[in-house]
Amino acid sequence: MVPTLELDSLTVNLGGRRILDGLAATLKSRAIGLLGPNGSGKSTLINTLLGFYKTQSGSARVLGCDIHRDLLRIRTLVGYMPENDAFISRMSGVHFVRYMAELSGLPPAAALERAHEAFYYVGLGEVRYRKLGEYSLGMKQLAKLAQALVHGPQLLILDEPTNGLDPPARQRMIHLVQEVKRTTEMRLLLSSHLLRDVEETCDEVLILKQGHIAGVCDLEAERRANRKFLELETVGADESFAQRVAALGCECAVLSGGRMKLVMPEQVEIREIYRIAAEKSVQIRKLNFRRDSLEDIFLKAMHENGAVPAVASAPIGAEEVAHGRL
Amino acid sequence: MAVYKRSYSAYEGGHTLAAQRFFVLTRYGWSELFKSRIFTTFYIAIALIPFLIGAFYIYIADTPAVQELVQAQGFLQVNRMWFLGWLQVQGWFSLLLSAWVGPSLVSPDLTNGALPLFLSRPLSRTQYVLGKSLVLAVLISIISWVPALLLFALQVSLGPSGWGARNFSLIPAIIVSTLLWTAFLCALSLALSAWVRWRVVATGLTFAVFFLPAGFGTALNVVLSTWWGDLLNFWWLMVVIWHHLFGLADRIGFSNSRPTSREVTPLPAAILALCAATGVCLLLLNQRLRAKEVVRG
Repeated sequence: MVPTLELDSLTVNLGGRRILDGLAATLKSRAIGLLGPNGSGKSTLINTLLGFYKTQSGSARVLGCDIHRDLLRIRTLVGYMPENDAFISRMSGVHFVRYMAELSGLPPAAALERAHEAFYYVGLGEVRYRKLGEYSLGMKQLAKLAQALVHGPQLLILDEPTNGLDPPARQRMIHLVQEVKRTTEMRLLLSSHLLRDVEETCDEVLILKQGHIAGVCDLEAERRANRKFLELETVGADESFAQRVAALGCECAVLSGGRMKLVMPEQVEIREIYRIAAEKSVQIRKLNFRRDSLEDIFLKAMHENGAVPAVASAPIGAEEVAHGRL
Repeated sequence: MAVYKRSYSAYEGGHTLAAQRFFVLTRYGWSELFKSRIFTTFYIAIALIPFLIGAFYIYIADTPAVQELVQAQGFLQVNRMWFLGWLQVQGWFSLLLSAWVGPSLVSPDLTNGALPLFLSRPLSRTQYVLGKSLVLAVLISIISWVPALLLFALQVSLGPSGWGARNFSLIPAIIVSTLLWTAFLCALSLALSAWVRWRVVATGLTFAVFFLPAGFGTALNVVLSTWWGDLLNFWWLMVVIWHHLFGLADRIGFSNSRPTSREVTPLPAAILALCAATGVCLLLLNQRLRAKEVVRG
């Protein structure tokens, strides 16, 4: 399969400042997340891939097409949903999406049909004849998604798709993106500073920090690797219980308050743990499969590359990190 | 596929030719314009009425019996001067048209940030400008050089034999001069539309660009006894170009209420000044038409 995105020492300067500095990575998954604090270069990377910004050096390939040589081809293959407002307020929704479809090369009749379909697909079927200027913020976001989908792109680029949405609207948007991923062959490139958005929709994550790559993480692999990571809360667990569990081949750590952490080998079943607990008269009050959350991965990447950026950590704090907002 | 089905399917149909895709912009531009009945009425009026008057004039001028009937023998003549006058009237209507249409061309795309959506599609900035320019250029053509050529053909068919051959150079003169004027008006309209988002202000500025520098230039000419101030008067530059192309250079000033005691603007200077003004407009447009702005600092 052709990689979705290949970055080859990509460097971009804007306004006399280096915004992207020698990015190099190959991302093959169907759903790629661009994660990083505000100002880390996520939107600049997307804009560079679309040819809006010139590169200082290096190059990149989108679905195998070089951004210097095959820009028009890339624009044919891509559907782009920008971060900010992007619409013509005096046009009706369906008229606008039809316009965009025709600019992507669809004949007028097909463009009209697809515009209606796209509006129903994103859940705006009932308001498709209303002027875009009268839409609410959530509806405008969905209309932007409709125009990005209408011509049937191979890669859907979503720049902060949940920006400014209230929780129900955000949930609706995330469900739509998940549905696109599940029911179509389209690939996704989603940029967000919200950990949860990326975690819920992407298979692979490129973490950016101050124009550098702070980490590349295959979320699918992480999910698989951590499938057998268990957290236990027990009453009565002691060293002998831990030794019996370790004898099964588990890595085991006993924490205070009867809590334990286990890494189980593939061949060991959970019922073995229950059996030992019964023998030792240990009550298992809580048992959780746990995996490294994207938050752990993100914070690890940030710390490995120096301190967590001020914009990400200082003003927001632990409570917001807990809500998945950087 | 029924539209009420909430499912997604990939598009598997055919595509339009990439080279013609900019014409979508033009088509949508016209569709927006002609939604207004006032505009449609105005446009039909400036396209049809001058043409019908011109055709009627030619018919009378070339039909002695009718001249005798209206007792206008010898008064009515169709010559180069007549075509120049007719085209100048349409030149003014072109200016009115560009002041009306121009502000609605680019600013709606910029106001709500739609430009990235256009430019993220297989459409270059040049094609975008071409598509938007054609909205105005075709409208101007339909009221200027196209009917002028039809009137020329009418005159050839009704006029004295040999008239067409003697005045054949009028054809390139009509086409070249109008295209030059159209290019300037399109560039000016697009630049103003890109930089000024309020329609009324943009319309006002279109006229201001014509009248304010012209007034300043006239004052400069009077004070310094020179013709250099004429370079700021775009309409006058076009008048000079028209007269030269129509072979009426010696008539410059007679028909435009302008003193002829001074030296008039040389043709190369007039062409260069108009081209330079068009170039400045295109540069301004280039500055503004970017999918994403870069903040320097």
